[in-house]
Amino acid sequence: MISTNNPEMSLIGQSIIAAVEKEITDYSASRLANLSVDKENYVIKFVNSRWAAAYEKSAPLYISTTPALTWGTATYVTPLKFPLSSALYGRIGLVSKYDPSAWRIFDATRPAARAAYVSWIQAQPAFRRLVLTVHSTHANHLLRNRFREKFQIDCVLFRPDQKAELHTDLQRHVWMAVTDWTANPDRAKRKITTGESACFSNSRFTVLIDEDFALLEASGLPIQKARRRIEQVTSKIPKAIAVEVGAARSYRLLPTVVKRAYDNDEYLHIYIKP
Amino acid sequence: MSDLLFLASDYIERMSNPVYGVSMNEDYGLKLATLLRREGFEASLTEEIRSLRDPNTLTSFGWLWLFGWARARNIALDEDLLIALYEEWSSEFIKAAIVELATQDFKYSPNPIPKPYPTQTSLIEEFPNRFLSRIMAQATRVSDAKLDPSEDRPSAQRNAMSPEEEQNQFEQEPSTELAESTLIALLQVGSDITTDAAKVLLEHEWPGKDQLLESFREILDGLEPETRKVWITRLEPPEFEVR
Repeated sequence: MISTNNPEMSLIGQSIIAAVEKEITDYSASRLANLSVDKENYVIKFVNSRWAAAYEKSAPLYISTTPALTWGTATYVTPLKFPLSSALYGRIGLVSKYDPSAWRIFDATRPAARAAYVSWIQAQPAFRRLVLTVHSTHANHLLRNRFREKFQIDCVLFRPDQKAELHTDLQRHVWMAVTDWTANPDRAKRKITTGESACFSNSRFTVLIDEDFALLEASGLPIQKARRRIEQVTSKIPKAIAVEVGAARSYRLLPTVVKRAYDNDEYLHIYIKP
Repeated sequence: MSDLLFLASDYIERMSNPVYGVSMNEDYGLKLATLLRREGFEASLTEEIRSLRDPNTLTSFGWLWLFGWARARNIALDEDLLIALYEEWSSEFIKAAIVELATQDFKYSPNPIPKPYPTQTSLIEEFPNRFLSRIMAQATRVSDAKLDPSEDRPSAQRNAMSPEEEQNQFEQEPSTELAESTLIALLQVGSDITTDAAKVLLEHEWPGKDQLLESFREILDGLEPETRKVWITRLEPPEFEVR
């Protein structure tokens, strides 16, 4: 157990604080230490293809502020150990190397950690309003920020709460919400910051996936399962022709190839040559 | 609103309002990041934010994003603007976010309130932070029409009222809705200064005092025993003892 000794925890019972602190570990004792690749730490984040050019060279990821995300204002990434787990968010995978050696990690994949968080929430002065208000998305966002700030949590590990068909394993995969902090010599007084992530400053376009997912959303909130849009169709077509996109552009007989594919119930896959 | 903020407000809205969906939120987050990389953009945006006066500049989601942005960068927002936003929104969570932003840079040295509490002076008016003083004064302000004439009677006499008198008093009781949500917002921030402000609010003599204390008692009853004890010890509410 590592402690922040935050002085402004005065309205919460000590046993609740202790229960949360017990669930916060340093990197070496955390589940994250087992999720490295060749003993190095990398993450991946899928984004819309329009951002490919922006990450042609190393650039920082951007800290997400939307209240619709699970653990508040943070950079949401996936350990590279699960490279396609979050592919539902885009066709471009940005990979970043990071250093978690000084992190305080709250592992919300553990039932005991989730229970500790719920106890903390129930001790909040506004808890009753949280369960009665129509603004619960707002409220949870602010409360999770507060929780991470009060306990100076650098990273929350959690199970995916949205699934890309065949790519995401809700029981086994782990996603990360990583905090960027304001600069403050007193660690306990650091605040969650927004803007570009200093934790993931060297992100680069590394993965291109030939798939799109139906990211279903109701009133802006994600619905759990995202179906494949392409592969579930191509897998039903027994034959395919593959042509590299550069060759396809200059191939005079391309109309004939497409016609044949149509006539023979095939499909033509025009791919980008690696 | 300036052209810059007008442009940014659309980005901010699409980035922060969940109704647009996570994909669009994330996309606009990256778009704003691209803008912020341009030389001078962030400094200009900061200046614009400092000069904001109109509570209608952004939607509630936009304001929430702006609070987070301003808080992380120690940008002070206009006090009257924060008061207007505080009064406009009903959510205690947003009220707490405003209180936190308004008090974050205030240098506060906790000064124990002497007991017995002075009755002739208003602890609220004399509270060392003007923003907190203003929201507490507003929360406990009672219009003349709502004042209960029986207030002058001693409490023992009030306790001996007939059912009709009680009903009559109920109808004339001031609304404590704003005071209750202010109390929750102050406690939710939980800093030294806002906790002391909550203490002052509970002590304040006004027609809604009993009702506010009753509401406070209800919140306390929902807490687990250890936290309840911490609250009572820290807030020293009238008529409560640590059990």
